[in-house]
Amino acid sequence: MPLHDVGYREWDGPRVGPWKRWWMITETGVRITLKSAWVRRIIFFCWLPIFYWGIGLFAFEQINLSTRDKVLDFEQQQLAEDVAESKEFQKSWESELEDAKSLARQRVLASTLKDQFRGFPAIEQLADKLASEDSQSLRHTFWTWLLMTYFRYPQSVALIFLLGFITPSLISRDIRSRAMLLYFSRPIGRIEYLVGKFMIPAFFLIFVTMLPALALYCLGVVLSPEISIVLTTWDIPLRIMLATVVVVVPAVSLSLMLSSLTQESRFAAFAWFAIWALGQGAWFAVLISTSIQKEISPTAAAQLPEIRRFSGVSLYNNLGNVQSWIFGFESDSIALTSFLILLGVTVFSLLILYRRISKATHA
Amino acid sequence: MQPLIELDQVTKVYRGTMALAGVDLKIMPGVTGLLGPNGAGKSSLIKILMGLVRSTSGTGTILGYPLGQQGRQIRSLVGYVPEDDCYIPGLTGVEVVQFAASLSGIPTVEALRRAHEILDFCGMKQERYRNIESFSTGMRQKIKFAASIVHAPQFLILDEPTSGLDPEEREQLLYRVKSLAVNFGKSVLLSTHILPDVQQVCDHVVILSKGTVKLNTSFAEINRPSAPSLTLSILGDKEAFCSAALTNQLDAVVLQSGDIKIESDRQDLPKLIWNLARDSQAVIQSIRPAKNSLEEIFIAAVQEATHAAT
Repeated sequence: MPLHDVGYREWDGPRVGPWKRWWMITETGVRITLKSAWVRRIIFFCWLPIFYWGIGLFAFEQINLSTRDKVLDFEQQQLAEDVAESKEFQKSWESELEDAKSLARQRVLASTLKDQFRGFPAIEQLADKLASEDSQSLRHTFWTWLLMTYFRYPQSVALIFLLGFITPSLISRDIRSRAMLLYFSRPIGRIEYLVGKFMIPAFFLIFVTMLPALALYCLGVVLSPEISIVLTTWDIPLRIMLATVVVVVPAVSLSLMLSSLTQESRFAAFAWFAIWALGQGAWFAVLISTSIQKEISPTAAAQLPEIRRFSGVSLYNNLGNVQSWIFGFESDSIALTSFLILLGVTVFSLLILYRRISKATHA
Repeated sequence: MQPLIELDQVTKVYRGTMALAGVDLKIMPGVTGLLGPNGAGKSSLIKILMGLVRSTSGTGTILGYPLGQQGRQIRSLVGYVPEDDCYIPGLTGVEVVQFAASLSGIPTVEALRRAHEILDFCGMKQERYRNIESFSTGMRQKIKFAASIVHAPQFLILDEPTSGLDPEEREQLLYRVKSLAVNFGKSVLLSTHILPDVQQVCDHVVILSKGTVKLNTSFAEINRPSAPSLTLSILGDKEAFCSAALTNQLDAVVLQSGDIKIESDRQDLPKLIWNLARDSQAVIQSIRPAKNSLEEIFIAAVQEATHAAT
């Protein structure tokens, strides 16, 4: 035995409250996750689309300026003549002329955007909406559309890959290495463990969805001619946050639940990708069968319910539908159905997750 | 003095299997060994004490807190080394201990300082910076022990802490346990199969078998024989010596160690023993007061439980 040993010393310093302990799990989890080079690469690729969307925003401002100055002349005159001939507009010629100018500008802008933004998804939706709205909300409409497409297309796909790499090992590895005993022999509860684990993928999702989207919004504000645009677009950051929550909560719950079902993270990863692939497969099957039905019997096909009502078979579509609704591009009924499906998936996943964690503690 | 643990008719049933059958137990502060064969209910008892599982019935307190109600409070005062080979994957040794400290509420920077201090105490050198997945079982045992004491608990529950350790490491770990108990007043519950570990560090012993407490006593009590007796070491025919003893109405048995134990309260016992040795042509090497062996007591307690079950 030693002759001299500094040995053990007592410790009685102040302790942080229990509310902060889940954050320790998250912080450590994020640090462990970032050790993987693959995860770092995926995060890098997840950020790439924002530059393309940023260029889109810049292009919009350029088109907006050019249509104001140049394109309108011809269209204005033509429309003014139409208005002058119209019996309905004869009484208030001057004010109607202003409206007509604005309407003409919208039409030109809509058609120019449709032409210039051919590469962007859901451009038809934007064109229809721009043509039907008043000129004051043009920029707002365009920005929400741009963000909706950003969330719905590149980032939804990115989320599948990102979570497919991060989440499967989060709980399955803890079960395999019996780490639950180490966690729950500390003064933390299952809810704190769950929240701590939940926030790890949520952190990465926020980093690759909400953060770039907010950056895109800030870029838009900087590029716009006057700063007062913030007053007419103040709701967009809130929509971005809400859309992020819609992505994060069901997707993370589902992926964590799959992770808790096995000790092998590869099985959880396989199940995760399979769920998305099967959902999209089912949706494509619906699309193809409807097309065939239309080819064979157009009259019978006309009696079929609207095809988009079946979009709920795909989790990807459900996320997209609710996000589109948040940005004002989806009907209430379809969004409600999708929302209920996502809510069901979330509640089911969290219940299973809690049960599995409890079971792992008792083992 | 307030008891450390007080249990009253605690039972635990897992899907029809009785793990604990009405455990009544009172453990006072100090170092207590928890002994029992496999399936005796030791781990179930420990998990109930830690608040990891709920008892099916019964009540109790640990450190004065009622069982199953103030789990967090209990766990902040208790350090626990689980029996299983468990670790938090992806972290280095020092990060695991720091993480354990942080989960117990120690601020992050202080947790790192404290983790290094405790790893020094546990004799962990530069290997602390290696990923824990590359550690041997013995090194993981050290990390688990370090993690269990990093938050300065009042009470340590060690479930098979020396398994996987080489003799030197085992010796050092037991020294640390004893040092924590003697110098810092920590109470320890040491659950193990290894009887010498218990004999080396414990003041009290609890033997659990078939879900019930078979023995709960101090080592001083154990060492005291039920009747005055002597242990003899002889050269010669031991069986002949025992037969001769029986003819003189002395209760003599040959122990597993080869020694002979004689129980009697006769005043002339030493003289009688010398006479017996002469008669049976044996040479007496030593005569000493007999002590009860923990091993014998343990085997007797387990066998009693087995017979009762059959």
